[in-house]
Amino acid sequence: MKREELKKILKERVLILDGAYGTELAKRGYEDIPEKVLLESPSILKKLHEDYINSGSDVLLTCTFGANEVKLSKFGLDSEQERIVKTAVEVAKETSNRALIFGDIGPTGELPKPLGSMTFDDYFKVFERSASLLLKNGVDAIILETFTDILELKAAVFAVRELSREIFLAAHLTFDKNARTLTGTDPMNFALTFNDLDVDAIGTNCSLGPQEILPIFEEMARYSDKMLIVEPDAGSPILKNGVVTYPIGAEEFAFYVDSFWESKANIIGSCCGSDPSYTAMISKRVGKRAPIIEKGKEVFAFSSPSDMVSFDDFVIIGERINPAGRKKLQEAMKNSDLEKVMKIASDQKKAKAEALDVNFGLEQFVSTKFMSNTVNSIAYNVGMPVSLDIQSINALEETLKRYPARPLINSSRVEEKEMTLKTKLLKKYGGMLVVLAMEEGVPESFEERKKAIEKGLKIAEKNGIQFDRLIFDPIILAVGAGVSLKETLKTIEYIKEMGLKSVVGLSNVSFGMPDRSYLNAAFLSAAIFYGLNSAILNPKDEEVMRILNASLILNGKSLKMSFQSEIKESFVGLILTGDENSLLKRVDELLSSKNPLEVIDEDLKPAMDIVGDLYDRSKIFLPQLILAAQTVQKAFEKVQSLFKQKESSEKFVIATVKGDVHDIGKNIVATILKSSGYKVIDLGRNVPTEKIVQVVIEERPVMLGLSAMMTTTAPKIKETIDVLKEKKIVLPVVVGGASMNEEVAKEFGADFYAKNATDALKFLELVKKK
Amino acid sequence: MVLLKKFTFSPLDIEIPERVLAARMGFKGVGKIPEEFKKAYERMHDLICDITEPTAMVQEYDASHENEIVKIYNLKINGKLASSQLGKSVKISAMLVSLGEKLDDKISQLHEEGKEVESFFLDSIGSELVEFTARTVDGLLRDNTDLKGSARISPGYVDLPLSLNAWFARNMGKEVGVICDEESFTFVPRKTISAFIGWSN
Repeated sequence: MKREELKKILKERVLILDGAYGTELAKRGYEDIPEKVLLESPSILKKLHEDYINSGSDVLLTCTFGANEVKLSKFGLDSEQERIVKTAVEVAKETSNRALIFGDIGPTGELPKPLGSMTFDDYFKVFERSASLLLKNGVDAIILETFTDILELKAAVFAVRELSREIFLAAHLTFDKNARTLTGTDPMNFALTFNDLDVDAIGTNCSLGPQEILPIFEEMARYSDKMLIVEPDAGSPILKNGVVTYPIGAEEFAFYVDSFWESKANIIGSCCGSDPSYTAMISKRVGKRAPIIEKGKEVFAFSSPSDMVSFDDFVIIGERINPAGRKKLQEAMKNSDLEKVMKIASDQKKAKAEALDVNFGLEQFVSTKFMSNTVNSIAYNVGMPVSLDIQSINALEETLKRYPARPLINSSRVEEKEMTLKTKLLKKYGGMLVVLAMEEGVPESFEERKKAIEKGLKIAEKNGIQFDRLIFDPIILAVGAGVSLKETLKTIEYIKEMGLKSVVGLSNVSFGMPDRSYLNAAFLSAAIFYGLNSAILNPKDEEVMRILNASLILNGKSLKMSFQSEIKESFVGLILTGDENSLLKRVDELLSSKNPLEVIDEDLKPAMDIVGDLYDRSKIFLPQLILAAQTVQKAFEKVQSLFKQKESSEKFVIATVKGDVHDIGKNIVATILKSSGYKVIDLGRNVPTEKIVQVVIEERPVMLGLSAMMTTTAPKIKETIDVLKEKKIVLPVVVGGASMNEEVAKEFGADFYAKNATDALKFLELVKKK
Repeated sequence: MVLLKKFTFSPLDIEIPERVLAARMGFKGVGKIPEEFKKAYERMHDLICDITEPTAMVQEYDASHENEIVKIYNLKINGKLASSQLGKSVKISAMLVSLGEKLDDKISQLHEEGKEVESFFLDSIGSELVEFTARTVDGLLRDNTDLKGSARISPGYVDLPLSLNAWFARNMGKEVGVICDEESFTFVPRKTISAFIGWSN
């Protein structure tokens, strides 16, 4: 089916998507991964498809969620990928009875660089292969489900679109209870970033029940211009009479259909823990209803994976990642010295920049790969949205394509050829564009700039770019050049009157003049009075920042407060910004007046407690937590090298249980505990019970950590605890993973349930105190 | 043909998801619900259970269609929303749900006593209670038919005229104690919902 045909259907009717596969197959007694069950007994999948169809499902998913090379290789099934996809599509077709068939693609389960090992291109390759097999076998649409990271999802979208512009494409992220993905993206950021991309629908599935997923879906719907899909779980799993069950029944689940419909859902389904009875209830409740069609809210904003800045507040864009006049920085860029650039990025953040303008100066000496890595490291590790001040079209395209959220492109003149080219990039890869209020020559008068803005709007409209994706630069000329700055101020006022947003490169005003700070500050104050929305400036310039704050207050505005205002401890600041060198210097200073144990107890551990607390309160997100952990680990290693051999009581053994290959969460726990000075013995994933018990006996750790993501593998946690008890090994056990919760942990006989890495650390500290 | 059905519930039987209430009471909707919201909800929920008796009246009509206009009994329903949701219906249910006047009195009383927060919370819970009563009735109707139900659409929503409320009050108001102000088309008591559901093959 062509995407336009499917879109037409979805404009007329809300469709029903089927329910769970993995958990339902396990409930029916088939505990292998669904793709293996499919290969060995296609009739079992056929029966499940039939049950969903008979329950009123309008859409069937192919049994290919885990059928990508990376995931299949963990089960030794990568050579069977083609046969799995072919069989899955065939089985779905045989049973579909005119229902639509959506080719299902799930994530790889691996984090992107700099958090993990995968690059955009690695992801692209994996998903290109998966999508090509689905398309070859003929599906009505492709759905990208349960993705935990926005870059991985973006790569999958581009991979599908590389192969087909005719296929209907849906892209989903999965969120936690705090409405963030694993790498910190919130629903608004997701909706705005994907509004720009060539997908037909966005959605969310898994991880949460209908009650918890509803506000997340509502938030997505508020800002999305795409069609919308929702598939909640049947609640969080609990253990009942020794069996893992899901608490939300079909009837209760279906009660939320009205709410999802009110939030513009086009397709409603169910995820883990559901079965055909849920589909029947959803189908009954949906009946024959038309969806609500309403455009998303207009927002002028750009983002990193974990932060978004909106031009409704005044936005400070840091200017210091720019080698103009700074030979050392240019040299560092030439030598691909990422650390040096990251240090500047962290400093700009500390000084209250909310986003960063990144300029590579003499680009012919800097590799495109370095540009992209730098931008993505800032976006993930520093967590700041980036303004791409890149002149080479090729480098800009490569960087833009791989950017993990919604970037700002800085900039384009209103010259037909240049602006058309850049709006095309914007159309293809997403983002916002700074439009200079000038055509070819530098405009002197307000009228010339006004004319350029009007022309710019026309070019954007012609190329299908909405005005909320443009920010206008009114052009500041150096005061030393003798041009009246009144023309710039009038232009700012005009931009405001047009309902548009403005940004200036502040330092231009004082170019070649003495007392630059005062000139910059004075002009900024006047510009804010005329309605300026943002400035690219140096936030370390205290004069400018003081006047900026004062000007905003006088104009009834204020700066958006960041979490940094809560961090009084500079030690924490160094850890959070990944400033390893300064941290080690600081540790040296401390060691001159304290013994190593005091440094750990009084400085390093309390600092990590603050970091953990910021994470728990969603003030920082996973990328920043991991960066902090990796940074502080170096300080721990330095201090610990001054101790004698560590005692065995400080060892921690961790494993993902047999049958489960999902180890992202386990790896994060291991990193955080290592960073807190523990010796972590990480047994990896898919670890047999006997091996875990054997290592516990040999290593005598202070605590054992076990994780399981799937409900089918969760009982292995109980098995391990039971064996430890049989062997009379007394050892506290902390458990975690998506299939676990407080109640299940208790039923399994675990001592603690850790919902995240910082919980695991708290329990470990608690055990040590006892 | 017009069929009449009356439903009466105990407020305790109408389950309102906690998160829906928190959102209505001003919590932005994502993340952990603050304890203070929970406490306020529990206190106000106890109060609301003492003073309301959710009641619904449902009339079922044969539907006919002329161009884009849906016709039932003595009423023509037109507009984009009616056409998209009720366009292919063979029957249409008209529903009037109310919580009764005691709740209005209590909300006003708390306001007059200067207890603005309590008044606001009670009002919020009332809004959700009447909505979830309507959803419960909606579910019961769907359970008892082989026809496919449309979305439940209410006057004032999209382009469905609010003036239809006067028709609801005239036809069913007496049974549930609801009247409609003929100028503003608002209901008395305030916590009242009117809606149509279309049924098609």
